[in-house]
Amino acid sequence: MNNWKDSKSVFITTFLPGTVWLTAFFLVPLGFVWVMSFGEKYGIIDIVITWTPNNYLRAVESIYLGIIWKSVWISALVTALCLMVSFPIAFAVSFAKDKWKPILLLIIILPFWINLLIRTYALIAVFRTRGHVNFGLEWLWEKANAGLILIGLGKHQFLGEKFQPLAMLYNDFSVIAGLTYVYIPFIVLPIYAMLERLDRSYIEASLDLGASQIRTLFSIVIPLTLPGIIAGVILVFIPCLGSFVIPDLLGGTNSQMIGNVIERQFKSANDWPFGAALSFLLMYVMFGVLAMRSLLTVRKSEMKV
Amino acid sequence: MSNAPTNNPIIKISHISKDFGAVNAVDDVSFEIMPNEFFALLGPSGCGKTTLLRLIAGLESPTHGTISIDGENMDAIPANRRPVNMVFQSYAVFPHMTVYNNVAYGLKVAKICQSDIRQRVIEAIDSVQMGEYVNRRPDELSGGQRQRVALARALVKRPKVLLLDEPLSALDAKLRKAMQLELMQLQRKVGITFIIVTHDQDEALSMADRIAVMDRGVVRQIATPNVIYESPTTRFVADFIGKVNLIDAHVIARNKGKLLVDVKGLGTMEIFHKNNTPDSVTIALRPEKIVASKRKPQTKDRISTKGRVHEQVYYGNISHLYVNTEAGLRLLINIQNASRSTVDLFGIDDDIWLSFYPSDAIIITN
Amino acid sequence: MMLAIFSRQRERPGPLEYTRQFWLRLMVFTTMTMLYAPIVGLVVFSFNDSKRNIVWRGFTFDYYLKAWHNDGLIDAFVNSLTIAVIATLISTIIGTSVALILWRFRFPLKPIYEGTMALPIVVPEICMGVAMLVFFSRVGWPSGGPWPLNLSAITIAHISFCFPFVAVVIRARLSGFNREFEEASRDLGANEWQTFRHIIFPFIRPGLISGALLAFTLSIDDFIITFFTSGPNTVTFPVKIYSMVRFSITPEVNAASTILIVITIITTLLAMWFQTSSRFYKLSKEGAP
Repeated sequence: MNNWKDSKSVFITTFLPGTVWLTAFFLVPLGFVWVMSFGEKYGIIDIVITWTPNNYLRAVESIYLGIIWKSVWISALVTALCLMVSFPIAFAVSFAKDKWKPILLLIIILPFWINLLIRTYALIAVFRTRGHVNFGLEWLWEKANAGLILIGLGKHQFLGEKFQPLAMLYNDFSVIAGLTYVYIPFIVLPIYAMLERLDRSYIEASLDLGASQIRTLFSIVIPLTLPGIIAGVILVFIPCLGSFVIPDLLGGTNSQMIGNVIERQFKSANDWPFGAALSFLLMYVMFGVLAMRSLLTVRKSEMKV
Repeated sequence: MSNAPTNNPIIKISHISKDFGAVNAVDDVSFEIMPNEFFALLGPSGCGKTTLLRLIAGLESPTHGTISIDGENMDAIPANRRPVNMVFQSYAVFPHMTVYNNVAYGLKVAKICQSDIRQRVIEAIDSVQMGEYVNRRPDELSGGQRQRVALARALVKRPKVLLLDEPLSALDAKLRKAMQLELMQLQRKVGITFIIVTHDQDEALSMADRIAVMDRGVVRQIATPNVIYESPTTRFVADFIGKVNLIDAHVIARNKGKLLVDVKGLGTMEIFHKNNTPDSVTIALRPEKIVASKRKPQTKDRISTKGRVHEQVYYGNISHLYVNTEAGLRLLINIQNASRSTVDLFGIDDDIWLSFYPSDAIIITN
Repeated sequence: MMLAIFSRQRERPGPLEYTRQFWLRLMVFTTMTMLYAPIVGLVVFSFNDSKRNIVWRGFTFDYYLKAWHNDGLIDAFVNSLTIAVIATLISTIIGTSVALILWRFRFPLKPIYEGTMALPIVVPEICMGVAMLVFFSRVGWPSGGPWPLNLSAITIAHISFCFPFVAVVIRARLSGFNREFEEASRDLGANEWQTFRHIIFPFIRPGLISGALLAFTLSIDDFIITFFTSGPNTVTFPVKIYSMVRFSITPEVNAASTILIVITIITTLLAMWFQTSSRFYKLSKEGAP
């Protein structure tokens, strides 16, 4: 690796494009948002920067605090669910025969590449009252009911008069299920990468010393793959926190998350300064999570394999 | 040291085979290991020795055959319940635990009570001279120190057999020699069977009570180091262990425990051997059994031949000489550089007389 | 080996052969099925001969034809394609320069540079969308103008979040490069540009293609950021699908979605093929072939 002074011209050539673009079309816009978060609306269009903290204060009012809190626990729940489902999958792929690994990985990752919107839309057809799951349940109900009638218990109507479809759309359940569905592939990759780097001898040594598979999992595998798990958690928790498409399409008015509130400020509610403040609160949370993660990695870096 | 027939074997391997897809890693291997033995599995890489070790430990399942440890069939018993413990080639000392916790791990999972654990762990750590590193983490230790931790961790569980996978290969030359002695002493002190896997014949010859030489999944010969070296039963074993001259020979006459063989390039000689050999055999002659002289040897009970030095390789205390004999053989001999001028005696292209006792020639039939 | 016939053993899975365990296989299979089922359902129902698209009524291509004749949809598709192509070109150039500088040079505050370059990847999309919207409106960015200039705002936004991904891909490719080849080139008299053109560039070319395809996919698929920066005249394919979903759910939406899925999958597979391809002149650390 060269010192930048050794080939100044090359350095400048490679330095400029990225830096200029990032500053002009990323950092500056973010800066604008930050400044706007201290502004106020005067009339329908005009916004004046009065350096007021009102927007932030409003953000922590009880209604909004409630939504923020809800977003946080939904994101946490989704992250936990994703973790529980992804870990066995990452395990299965990592311990598969070498020639199957790329194919298995591809199959798991492919949904990740499909448009978020489309995957969400696909879920609507699954969850709605006259959707696939309810059709399936209805079929089962009819079969079971027919069975009961056959053995003479028809008139008691144990299963109810009619099939009652499950309300799986436009509530918290659908939002949580939708978010989990969409973000599972995100978690699999970092955990898989970490598992690949795990020296199999550690597992063998643990078994050889008499530990059961479960004990080995919790005492050896998980502590040694923790960096991957943490990376995966961050990859899911932060986007989840800021999501608005899924709560919008699957949650309806019953399940609002912070993303929906932000979006509304810029479209229908037209309160840009408030929206800016909320956006930045989200960014602060993100930075906080990342900072915590670097602190953890610094402490653990002594513990390299 | 010898395998006393009155004891029951501690490990009995019966017709064990292990296939990995189309590869036949271990092929119908059967033998027994005795209690309190220092046993070595020796062979080139790919010969199946590590696979066999892992089959004993339960880390692989055999395709066919059974393994019994102390009379108990291990078919249904998984790795974590077998009375054997292993020291892995990479040591596998858990990086996220201190030395103490590493050694205590096996006892904790066995749900032994805390006070007992403490006492046994300290004892084990002291027995490998790691007492002052009790609270250190593995990344603060050297390779040799980590190996001791791995040893203590395995031995603290008081297994019936200790398995060691290439224990010395990662150590530098000087440490290796010291560790060889330590392992031998440890085995005697602890009093259990040690099975080591190695590709280094010096290790096997110096440390083991008995050696099993393996080649491509098959055990070629099992014997004490002395027998393996001086009486190899196959070309492979003769060639793999130490250096050897292999010469074709033809059996002329068989006579009550003696064979008259015509050795190509060396003439006829009478050697004590069983009579039921095929007509074509191989003679194995170790270089150090051949005596070099400037003049033709006078004694009649040695076979002699004249030749010319083709190549000399100097090792300090000994030199290897490659000699082309008059009859067209290329023989390797050792000479001790017994005096400071010995090395000048036999230079390249010098004439040289070689002689040896026929009883030092080994007859190999396969 | 002859005794194999007599032994009735079936080989047990070893303790670390987790993937051969039944329960794990079941779990993976179930999860995969649940992951793909909704998508498969969507694709299948794009051929459904029923306007309300709730129950299967019959097979037809009608809705694909409808989509083909839907001017709004076609326009949106052309917009998406245009934006993606331009964004890909520029992101690839910028991304390559970032990857090169991080691979080649030590310089003060490098960790901060690295971290900042990764920000677009980490920042929640909604924050970025909001930032771009605020920026373009405060700066007074012209949103009218002839096609394709009216797409400039969206394109700029796409470039901003695409190029860091390209940089990551190319950096990964560069890490396998044996520096001795570069040093040999300089030893033989080549200058920086020549070395780059003849030695480094051929090596990273597969990574470049892979990164470009990644940028293309990200751009075509992007919804959130585009949602904030697009207007009524500058609609992209995903945004159009969103408004169709809000309006009414007919198989036409499924058809449009399926088309997008197919494009995405093909592009992704190509990208992966290039990234791992050794067809091109491979200068790995193990030495030249």
